[in-house]
Amino acid sequence: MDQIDKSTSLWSDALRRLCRNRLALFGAVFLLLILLLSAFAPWLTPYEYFEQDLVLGAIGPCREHWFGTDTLGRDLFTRVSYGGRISLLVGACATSVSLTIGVLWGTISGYSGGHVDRVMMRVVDIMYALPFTIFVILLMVCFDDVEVRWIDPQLFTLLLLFVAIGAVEWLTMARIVRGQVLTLKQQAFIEAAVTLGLSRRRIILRHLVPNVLGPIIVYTTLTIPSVMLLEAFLSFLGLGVQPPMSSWGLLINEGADAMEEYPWMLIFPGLFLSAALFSLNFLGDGLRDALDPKSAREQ
Amino acid sequence: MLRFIRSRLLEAIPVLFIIATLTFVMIRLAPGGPFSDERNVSPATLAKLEAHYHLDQPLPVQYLTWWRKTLTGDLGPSMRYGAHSVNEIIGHTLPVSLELGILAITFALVIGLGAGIVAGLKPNTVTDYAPMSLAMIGICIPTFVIGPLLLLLFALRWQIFSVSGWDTATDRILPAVTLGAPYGAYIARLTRAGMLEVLNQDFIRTARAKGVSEFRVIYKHALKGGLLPVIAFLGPATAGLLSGSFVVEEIFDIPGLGQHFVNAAFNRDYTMIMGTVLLYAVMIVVFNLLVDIVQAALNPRLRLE
Repeated sequence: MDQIDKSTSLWSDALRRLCRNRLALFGAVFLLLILLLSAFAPWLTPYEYFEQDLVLGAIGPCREHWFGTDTLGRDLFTRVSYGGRISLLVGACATSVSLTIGVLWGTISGYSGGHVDRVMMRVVDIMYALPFTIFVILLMVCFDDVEVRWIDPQLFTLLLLFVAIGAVEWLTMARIVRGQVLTLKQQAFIEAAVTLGLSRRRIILRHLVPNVLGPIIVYTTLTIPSVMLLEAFLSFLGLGVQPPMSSWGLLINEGADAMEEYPWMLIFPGLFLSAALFSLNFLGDGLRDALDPKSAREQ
Repeated sequence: MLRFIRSRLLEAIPVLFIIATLTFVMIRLAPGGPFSDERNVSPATLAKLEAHYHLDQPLPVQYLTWWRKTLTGDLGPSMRYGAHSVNEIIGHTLPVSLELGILAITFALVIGLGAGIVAGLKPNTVTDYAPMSLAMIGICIPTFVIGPLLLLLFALRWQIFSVSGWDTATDRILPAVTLGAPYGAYIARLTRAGMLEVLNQDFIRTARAKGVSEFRVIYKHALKGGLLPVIAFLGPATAGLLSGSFVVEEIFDIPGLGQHFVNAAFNRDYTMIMGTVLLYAVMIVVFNLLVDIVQAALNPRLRLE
């Protein structure tokens, strides 16, 4: 029994396949580097993200300022690392919002079936037809200057970003989870497990969860880059976090304005955002190949 | 087929209704108003302005009035550009945005289909890896990074194109390429996957066995099936092109509708926001319907569902 368990363990198989995929591995390592850089930004650089050196103005990359400084004399390396915090934070939090809504919606819909399922999926269909970016823009513009006393305004903008983006990105997740639950409900191996007299807990933990978890993990990894892209898009339009805070989209916006004389202001944040999106997409693709049982059989 | 179109059109009505209502509620809940940034407005003038635009009436009345006028085709006067109606502003700027969108999607289709077919014919060779790596780059570098970079290189450094404007034919190249690039990349990936799937099927083998020329096999038989996912992608792509055009119009300073929409939201230009959102929603609904019709025509199995 133990031996059978070992040879069919989805997770060790998946991990082995993932490690064989160089691009995915490279993506994971690079992502970890960006994560560390952002997390330890205050200890890695002697400057503050809002600290100005007006004597210098904008200077190109040099030994004191690895990525140069911006037009206000702020160290760009510092701003890029702090910007990574916002971008990754929005990526993680907005994705969790969409993950929670999507998984709950999909599970309830798929598990209940019948009328409940039909109505809930109709809602998803209708929402697919809505021009969502437009609503996110309206949300961000209209509620950005709400007078809030109980919370820091910058934090409020961040919360608004999480909610606005999370509310948009859950639809596909709901569809995927519903589909998974529907097929799992009627599959022979679940019946077999019931017939074998396995405990409910064991069926759920050993058979149901791993099968739904794969697609959820894969789709989550692919949601994070699209969420980060949406955040950068909003920041580029001036609707995200406001200066002197920094996020990659905001830095790209500032860089695009100053690129004629100071191209590094555009190139470094652009490079970091693109590289992060690259890594996440490669990792997502790699995970899909690793966790998809169909590709396992082919190998 | 007619029944299919009719039922889809009937479904569009509640969608448009929901969109308009949501937008109305959202912009009215938001703080500020169309005249709140204007300095030196006496309360009397403000009251007059609000009365002029019927903002003094109760909200449900304003909502119903808006629908009544909209259904007759009148989107009302812009609250920021007092002399112009929303219809006029849309009439001036929509053609520009449409032209940009059509050029971008044409570029995306030409590049994407070409690269996808080349890659799909010889999988796992150089002619597969090279275009597919380029496609991955196209997907991962956002429009607002590609756009300024293209400007920096082609307009500022090498001075091949002008930096901004929408006057000559060459002014259209950089914006269309910027807006179309990510879609071209997606289309290339979809075409490659579609081609690979179709080329392995029995009817292709049959066609080859019958001695049909390779050219005919690819363009007559394989491409028709391989195109299905690309056509399905064009529906959601329209919505993406719309939001992409906000950024591209800002980068290249193009006098299109996208910029007006973002500004209208900033300025709380209520009538302008409602007008543009409704227009965008109608465009998305109509385009999705067209895509569904084409899909149903190409793939009879879909019609049965």
